[in-house]
Amino acid sequence: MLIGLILFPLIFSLMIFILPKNLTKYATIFYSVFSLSWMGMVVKNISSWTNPFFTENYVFSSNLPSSLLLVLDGISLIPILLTQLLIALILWMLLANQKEDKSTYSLIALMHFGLNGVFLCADALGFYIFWEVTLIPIYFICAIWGEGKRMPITLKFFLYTFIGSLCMLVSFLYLYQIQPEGGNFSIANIFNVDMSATARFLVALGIFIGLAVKIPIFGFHNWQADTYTSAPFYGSMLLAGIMLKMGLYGMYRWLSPVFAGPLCCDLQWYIIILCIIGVVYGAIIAITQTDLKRILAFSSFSHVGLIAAGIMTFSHSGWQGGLLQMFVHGLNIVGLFYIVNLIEQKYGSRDLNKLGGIATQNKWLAIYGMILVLGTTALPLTNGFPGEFLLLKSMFEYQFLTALFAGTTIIWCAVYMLRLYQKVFFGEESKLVLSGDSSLSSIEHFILIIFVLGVLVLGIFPQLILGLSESTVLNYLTQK
Amino acid sequence: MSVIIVILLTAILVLFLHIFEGRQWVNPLAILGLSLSFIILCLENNSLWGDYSSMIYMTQFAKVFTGTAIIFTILVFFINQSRLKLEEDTNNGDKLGLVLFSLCGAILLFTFTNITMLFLGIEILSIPLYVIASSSKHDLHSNEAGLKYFLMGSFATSIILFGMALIFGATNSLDIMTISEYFSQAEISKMAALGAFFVGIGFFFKVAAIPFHFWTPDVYEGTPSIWATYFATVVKIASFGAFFRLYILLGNVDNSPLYKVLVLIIILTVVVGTLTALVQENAKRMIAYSSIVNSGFLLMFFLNPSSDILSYFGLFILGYGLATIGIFSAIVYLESIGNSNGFEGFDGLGRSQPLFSLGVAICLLSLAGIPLTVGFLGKFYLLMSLSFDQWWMILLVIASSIISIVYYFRIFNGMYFSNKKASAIVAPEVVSPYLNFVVGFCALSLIIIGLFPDFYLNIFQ
Amino acid sequence: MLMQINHIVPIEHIITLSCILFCIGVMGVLLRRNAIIILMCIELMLNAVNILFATFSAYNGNPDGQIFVFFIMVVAAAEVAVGLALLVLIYRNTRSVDVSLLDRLKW
Repeated sequence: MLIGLILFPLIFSLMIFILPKNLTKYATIFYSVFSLSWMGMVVKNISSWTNPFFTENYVFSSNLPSSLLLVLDGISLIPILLTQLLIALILWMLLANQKEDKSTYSLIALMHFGLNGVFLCADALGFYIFWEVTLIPIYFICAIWGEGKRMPITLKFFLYTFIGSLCMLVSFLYLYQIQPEGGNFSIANIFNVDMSATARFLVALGIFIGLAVKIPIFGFHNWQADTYTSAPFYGSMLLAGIMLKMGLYGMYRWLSPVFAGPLCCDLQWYIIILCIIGVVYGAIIAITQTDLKRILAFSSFSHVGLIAAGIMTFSHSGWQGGLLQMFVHGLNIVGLFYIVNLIEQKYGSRDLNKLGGIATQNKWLAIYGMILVLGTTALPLTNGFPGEFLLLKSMFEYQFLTALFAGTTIIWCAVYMLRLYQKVFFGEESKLVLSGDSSLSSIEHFILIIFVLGVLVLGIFPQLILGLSESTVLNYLTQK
Repeated sequence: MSVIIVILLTAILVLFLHIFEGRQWVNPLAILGLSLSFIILCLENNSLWGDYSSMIYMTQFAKVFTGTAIIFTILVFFINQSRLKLEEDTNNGDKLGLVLFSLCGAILLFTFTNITMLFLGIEILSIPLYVIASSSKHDLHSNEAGLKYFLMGSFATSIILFGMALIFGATNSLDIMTISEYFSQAEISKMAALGAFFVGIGFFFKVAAIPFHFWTPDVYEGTPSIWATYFATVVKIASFGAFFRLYILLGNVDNSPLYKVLVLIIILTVVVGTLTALVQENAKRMIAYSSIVNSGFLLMFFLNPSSDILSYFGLFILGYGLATIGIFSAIVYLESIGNSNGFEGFDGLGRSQPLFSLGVAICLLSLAGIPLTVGFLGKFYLLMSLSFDQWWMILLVIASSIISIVYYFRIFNGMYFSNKKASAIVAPEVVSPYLNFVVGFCALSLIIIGLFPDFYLNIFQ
Repeated sequence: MLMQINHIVPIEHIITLSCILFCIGVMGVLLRRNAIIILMCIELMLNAVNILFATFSAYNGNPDGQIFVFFIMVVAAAEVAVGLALLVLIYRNTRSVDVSLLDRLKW
C-alpha cells in the first residue's frame, strides 16, 4: 500500500521521458488522479484509528543497519494528504498554463517521490536520504526556470539546506553509534538510548539545525525570501506549500523524542524565542515589501514561526493546532501564490505600486482572493482560525509573555494582508490592469474553487483534519 | 595467477599486432583480453597457499580490487576507442601495451605477501606510466608531466626502499607475515619504527597526500586526458590497495609509529585539498585536487581498521573511481570538440547533449555525496567507521563535503544553467557511442550499487 | 645460508655510511635544479639502500637481502633508461635540462 505512494511518482518521473510528447498532458492528468485515488484508497483501508495505521518494512541491504520502514500514523497522514493534494493541484496549474516541458513534470514527480518518502519513512537513514532527494529537483526547478540572479540564490539555498541536513545526519549517526551491538536506524531503536544531558543537547541541536533551515526559523531564514522570489511560481509553491512542512513534520517525529533533561529545556525555550522573533520580524518586513511574492514569503515565514513555537510547547493543543495549521497554511499559501501568478500572467507585474483596481475588471479573481486572504488572516469561520486559536492557546499555557508577542500575529497579518488586497484589487485601475487580459478560464476557476472550498469547509469543520490525528497525538504525548 | 599471465599475453599480442598490419584491431583486442582476464578472475578460486614460492596470495580482497582495476582499465580503453575514430594514432599499440603492463604491477600490489613483490609491483606499475605521461611527444606540458612524475615517483620509491631495508634489518625477513608478527609485539625496535615511517612517507607520495601532492595536479593536467583517467583511478586504487594492506599488517594501530603522522596528514590533505580545489579555474586540476581530498577520506579508513572496513573502503574507492571516469570522459569529449579545459568548456552541455550530461551530472552528484549514489554510501560508511571520539575527523568530512558542493556544482551549473551561448550549443557534435557507453555505465552502476550496495559488499565475504 | 663471518667493521658504521649517502641523495633531489644531477642523486639513494640490504643480509646471515639487491639493480637500470629517454625528449623541445624552466604547469 504505502510503497505505492513512493514508487508511482518515481516510475512516472522516468516514464514520461519515454512517452511521446502529445501524450504528456494525458499522462500527467492520469498520474495526478491516480495518486489522489491511491491516497483515497489508503485512507479508506485504515481499519482502526489507533497508532500506527500501517507499517511496512522493505529490507534493501543486509550490510546497512537500516531498511525502508514506512509508517503511516496520524502525524504523517496529514502532510501526506497535503502533499498528494497540492502536487495534483500544481500539476493542473501547469497544464492550465500550457507548459509542455517534459522535464518539469518529471522533476515535480521526483519531488513527489522524495516528499512522500520523507513523510512516510520511519528510519533515520531513509528519512535523511529522502530529505536530500527532495533537494535535487527543487534545485533544478529554481535554477532552470527561475528569474533574476537565480544561480547564486539557488546555490545559497542549496548550501544552507545541505549544511543543515548534514548536522542532522551527524546527530543520527551519534544516536546509532551509542546503541549497543546490533542496533539500527529505525525510529524505535534510535531514540531508545541513554545519554548524558550534554550529548542529548548536542544531538537535539544538530537535528534542530537541519529542520530549522528548512522551516525556516529566525536566524536560519536568510535564503528564504530570495529563493521564493526568484523561483518560478510552482517552485515557490513546492517550497512554501510542502517542503516547509518537512521541517515542521520533522519536529514532531524526529526532534521531540530527544527532548528531555534540563539542557533541552533551555533549548526549547531558546527555540520558542527564536520562533516568536520570527513571527514579529517576518510580519514587520512583510508590511514594508512591495513585491507580492516577497510579501507572501515573509508572511509564510511569520506564520510558520507560530506553528513551530506551538509544536515546541509539546502540549496537546499545540500539536493538534500545529498539524491543522500545517495543512491549512499549505493550502492557503499555494492558493495565494496561484493568484499572484495569475495576476503576473494577466497584467505583467507583481509590484504593488503598479497594480490596482483589479476588482472592477475581474471580479471573480477578487472574490477568490478575498476568501483566501481572509483565510490567511484567520478570520473566524475560515480555515486559519481554529489552528491559530489552538496554537495561541498552547502558547498561553506555556508562558504568558511569549503568547502576548505571538498573539500580535493576528494584527500584523491583517495589516499586511489587507494592505496587499487593497492595493492590488481596489483603488484606481492602473495602466497595466486596464491593458491586461481580465478573464479566467474554466480550469482556472476550477482550481481556485478547490482552494476556496478548502478555506470554507475547513473553517466550519476543522474536526475533519483534527480527527485524523487525535489519537496519535494523545498517544505520543502520553509516551513522552 | 592466470590473470596476470593473460594480461601479459594480451600486452605482448597487442605490441606485435601493432607492428604487423592490424592497428585497428589493437584496441578491441586489448579490451577482449581484459574481459577474458576478468572472467578468469571470477572463475578462479582463492589460493589457499601462495603462488610463486608463497610470494603471491589471491585473497578475496585482492580479487575484488583486481576486478575493479580491470573494469576501470576496460572503461579507459573504451574512452581511447572514441579518440581513435577521430585521429590517426601510430603509437596506439605501444600505449595500450604499456598500460596493460602497468596493470600487472597493480595486481601485484593487491596480492603481494613478500616485500620484494611489493617493490616490483610499485615499479612495474610506475615505469610504464612515466612513458605514458609524456606520450604526446611534442607537447611540452606532457613532457613536463612525464618528467615530474618520473622524478617524484622514483624519489618516493627510493624512500620506500630505504624503509624496507630498515624493516628487513630489524626483522631479518622479507615475508610480510613474519614482519607483521614482529610489528604486533608490544615493543618494537627503533629501526623498525623508522622503517615503517619511511615506507609510510613513500606511500603518502604515491597516494598524493598533502604535503606530498605537488606532482598530482601537474601530472593530471599535462598528461593526455585519456591516460590521466587511468592515473586518477587505477593507479590510485593500486597505491591505496597496497598501502591499506601494508597498514593493516603493520599496525596494531595503538603503537603504530605511523598513527600520529597519519592523523596530521589526513587533516592537512582534506583541509588544504578542499580549499585549493575551490580556487581552481581548470576542470582537470579541480578533479586532481578532488582526488587529493578523496585520498584524505580514504586515509581516514586507516584510523579504525576492522574486518568490515575492507569492504567499505572498497565501496568508497569504487564510487570515487566510477565518478572520476565519468567526468574524465566528459573532458575527453570537450577536448575533442576543441573546448577548453576551463569550467566554461562545460557551458551548455546539458542542452546540446542531454543524456550524456545527465550521466556526467550523476557522477558529479556522487562525488559530492548526494544520496542514492555510491558516493553517498561511501561517505556514510566513512562516517560510520569513525568513532565519535574522533569528532574533529567527522567535522572535517562534513565541512569538506559542504565546500566540495561549491566546486563540483560549478561544472554542474555550467552544464545546465548557463545562459551563455557556448560553442557546445552552437556546434552540437555527436558524442561517440563509446563515450556514451562509458558514461552510461558509470552513472548506472553508481545508482544501482548506490541503491543495492549488497551487490558489491557481499563479494567481500 | 651464508657462513657466519667474524666481522671486523661494526654494523653501525655501515648503517651510518648508507644513511649519509641516502641523505646526500635526498638533499640533491630537493636542492639541485639540473635534471641529470637529480637523476644521479636518485641513483645514489638507491645505492645507499643496496648497501644497507647487503649489510643486513651479511650480518644476519639471511641471503634474501642480497637477492633483493639484484632486483633493485635491475629495476634501477630500467628506471634510468626511461628517465634518460624523458630527458632527451625534453632537451629536444627546450634545449635545456634545467627543471626550473619547466614551470608551464603551475602548482
